[in-house]
Amino acid sequence: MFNLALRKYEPFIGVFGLQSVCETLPTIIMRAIRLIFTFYKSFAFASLMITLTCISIIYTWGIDTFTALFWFKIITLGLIFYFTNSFKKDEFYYYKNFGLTKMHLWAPTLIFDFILFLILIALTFKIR
Amino acid sequence: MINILEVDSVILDFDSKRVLQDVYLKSETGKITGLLGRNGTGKSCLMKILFGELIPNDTSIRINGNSLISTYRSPKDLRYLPQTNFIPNSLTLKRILKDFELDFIDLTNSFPEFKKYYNSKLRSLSGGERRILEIYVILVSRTKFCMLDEPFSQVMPIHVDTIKKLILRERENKGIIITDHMYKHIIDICDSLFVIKDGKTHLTKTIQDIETLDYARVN
Repeated sequence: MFNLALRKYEPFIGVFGLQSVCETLPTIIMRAIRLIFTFYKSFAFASLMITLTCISIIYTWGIDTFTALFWFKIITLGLIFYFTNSFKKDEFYYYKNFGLTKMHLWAPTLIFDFILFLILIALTFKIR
Repeated sequence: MINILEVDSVILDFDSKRVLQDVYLKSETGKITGLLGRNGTGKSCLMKILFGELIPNDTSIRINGNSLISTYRSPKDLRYLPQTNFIPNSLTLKRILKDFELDFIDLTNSFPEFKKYYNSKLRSLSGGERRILEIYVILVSRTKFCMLDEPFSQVMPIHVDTIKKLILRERENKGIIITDHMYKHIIDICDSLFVIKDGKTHLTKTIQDIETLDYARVN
């Protein structure tokens, strides 16, 4: 029963047997976070540049530009997704060898990047 | 414990062309399974199917009798060395070994030239050195099975011998599936040898079968 309950954590369990999970789970989670962060770094510069551009626009032109910038950010994230999948497709084998699928990599990084975009926009609007 | 990996009932079509249709492959702890075949016969596709990277029309993959239904593969079950370089350039050797929980000293015992690279990024290694590192991490890290797709390509002969020794050492702990066109090296080390022809796997019984199956002239 204990082992079955842990099945959902398997992508983060790595090479260890389920029996040794209690000792190694923090290590495994740390490695998964480290790998996801490494993946994020592969497109973070481009994405952060786009976010900074959006911030400068909203700082200059005000909140009226938000709707356009929102969709601009969504579209550019879509382009980043497409080009990363195309040009770095072989690197996904590295992550998959640790049990991390494309979904495990893209979901947290895109969500984090978009939330960061929203937070920075909100802060910029307040400062302005 | 002996672990067994089996795949059968594979049907793989690309557009209207059937690539794989009557495949059976078995790997078990302590055994090296060789896989040969002419270009485009589906060797790499079969490995990708096993690794969950390619979804065929139909397949049955089992580890110790338990079917692998989803495309998720646990690293404790299976690791895969693709034909292409797959480790991100930005990572250092130290970081890669940390990720795979491997010992730098064991690496340098087999390949002393890596001593100077501990803190170097992968992009500073030559193509051959990079390939050796990729083979090493997949082959030596803890898992039940590993699949090596063309491990001897880009590697100089003296290191091919070292890699063969490592494969024979690691055979004690895991099942290994290996494919490469340097088939004499494969024949040297494998315990069972399959040749893919016309989408089917043929288990060879003698070296002459390789010639009969139209893969190479063995003389």
